[in-house]
Amino acid sequence: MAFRIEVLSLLILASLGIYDGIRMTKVPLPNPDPVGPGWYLFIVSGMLFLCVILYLFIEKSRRRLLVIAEKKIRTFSFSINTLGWMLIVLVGYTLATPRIGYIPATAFFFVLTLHILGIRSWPRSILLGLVFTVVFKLLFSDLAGVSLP
Amino acid sequence: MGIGLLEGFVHALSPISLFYCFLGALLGTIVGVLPGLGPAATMAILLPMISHVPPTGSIIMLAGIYYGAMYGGSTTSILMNVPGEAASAVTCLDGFEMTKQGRAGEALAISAIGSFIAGTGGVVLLSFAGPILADFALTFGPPEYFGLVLFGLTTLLSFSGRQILKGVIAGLVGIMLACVGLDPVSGKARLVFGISEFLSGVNIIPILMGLFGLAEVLASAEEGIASIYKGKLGRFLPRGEEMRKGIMASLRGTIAGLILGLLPGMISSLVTFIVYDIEKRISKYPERFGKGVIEGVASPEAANNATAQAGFIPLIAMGIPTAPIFGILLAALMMYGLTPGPLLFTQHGEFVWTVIASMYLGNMMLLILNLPLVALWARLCLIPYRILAPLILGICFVGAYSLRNNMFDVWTSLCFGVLGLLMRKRNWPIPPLILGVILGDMFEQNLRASLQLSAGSLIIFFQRPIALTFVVLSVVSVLVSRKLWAKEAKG
Repeated sequence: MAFRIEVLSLLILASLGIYDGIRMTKVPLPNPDPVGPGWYLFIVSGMLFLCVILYLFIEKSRRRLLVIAEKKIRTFSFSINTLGWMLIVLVGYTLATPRIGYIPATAFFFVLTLHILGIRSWPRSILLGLVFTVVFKLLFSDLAGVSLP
Repeated sequence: MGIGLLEGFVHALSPISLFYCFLGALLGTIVGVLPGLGPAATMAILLPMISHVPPTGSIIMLAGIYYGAMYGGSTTSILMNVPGEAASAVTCLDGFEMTKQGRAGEALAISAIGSFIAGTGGVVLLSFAGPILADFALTFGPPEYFGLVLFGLTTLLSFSGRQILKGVIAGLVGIMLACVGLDPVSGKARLVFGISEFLSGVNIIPILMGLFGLAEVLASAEEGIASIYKGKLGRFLPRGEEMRKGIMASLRGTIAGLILGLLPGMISSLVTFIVYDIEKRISKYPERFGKGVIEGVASPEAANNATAQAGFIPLIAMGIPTAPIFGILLAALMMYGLTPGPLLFTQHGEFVWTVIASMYLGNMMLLILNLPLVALWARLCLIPYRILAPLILGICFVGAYSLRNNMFDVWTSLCFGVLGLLMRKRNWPIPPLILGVILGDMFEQNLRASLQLSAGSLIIFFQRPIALTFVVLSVVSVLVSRKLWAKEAKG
């Protein structure tokens, strides 16, 4: 399944490049350009397409080995909960920062990630999260002059 | 010249010059360690503030910030797998592996020593052969650059390990990603699909932070890692054979970095990829590269610093800024009414030689400043990962955002973090993707400019000796890669 998604994604990407490359070959250019932005993209995407097809055939012929490899991946120590929660918190943090501001969003983010990653005591997570937020604000914004969202 | 340099040392050793030199080196180290605030931004911010400082002090400080940042840039790559700049991406490959083995001290120390060798080598070259070498650099045109980038791209074969086809696919995806945005030649939008954020293209730094830093944290969270390294830390300084290997690799990296760094427009990330590849090819144990060998840290770090230092040569000798950062230095020089070029040596000899002498001292200061910090930095890997991981994520977030002050770069970083995790799980090599993104622009621009010169004929790459040499080297590189694959297959 993962292999099919991988190949399909790459083929879609290559097709997008081929499509846009062809579109751009028709765009008039200010200066004569033998390759132009369109043909260059078309050639790169076309090469990608061919390589992915080649990869598909080679991997198909190794199907038996692939099944073994995928089994190996499945037996790998796996805790989807931690990873899943981490991803949710990261996406939430990125969405929340421009809306509620850097400091509150960062404080929430630190508290939640500390908790997810193993600091089970909420008071400790909150305390550490707040300390980290203050340190980040002082270090990056006040001391180094980095602009924060 | 010898007397000029001696006089320069006399002035550079004055307390006020030493103060500016130390301040620049210290600020540079801090800027290098902290992601998000690059040396160019720091120098641009400081420029108006230091207008009242005498020109010698000002340039000494600005130069110190630049090469100090080059020293500090490797720290987060080695300790957290977070490259603050594209040139440090290669350092992650072996540097972070060394940290995982409890050898962070050795990696940081050899990085500082390599940087010192490269920095000093660069100043020696600047002192004795600067103008001659700057002349040579000007013989490079688009076909020569194309040849060089083509040679750089062949290194993706050795970065692919046993997954050659996957490496080529990843490299092509990287080259395609570099096409996103406005076409550099005609200004037409490409692969944008109506998304305005795509117009300015994809920035390499959020991609690196995602593929390395974020992916590392996500993978470690999934594996439930307690700390980057458990146990007693190893030595803080490499000794014996390790030290010898590290110094030799630093010397090789320095030579390559100095030669390539002279070229206008040369990006140090390309140089670091090339020297890493060379180092791997000439090694007796290429299969151990990427698993924590000292040469894998020493050589690219030295090359990075040598490239940085070599950029001063065309700037001072000919007034050509080879990178945006040198443009800021050029602006600083012009602010004081100093026009860089051959006349600068004759008309303002005292100034030039004092700045050059201060670079010798600055490199020494950086070594003295950085080596004692090694023991402190190395202990970072003992911090429980449940505390360190949120900090790494926070740093990646700030680093990605602060580049262009937009959330799009943060989303880019996040997406590439997930992509990096999936690539690891599915055994896809990550460096070829990075190489493609870094070199894609340069490859396209020089290919198209060369073909414009020759009215579409490929013969141009075979008519010019330097370009032809690189094309031949690229073919040889591909052929030699077969040996490397055989060795890796055995390993």
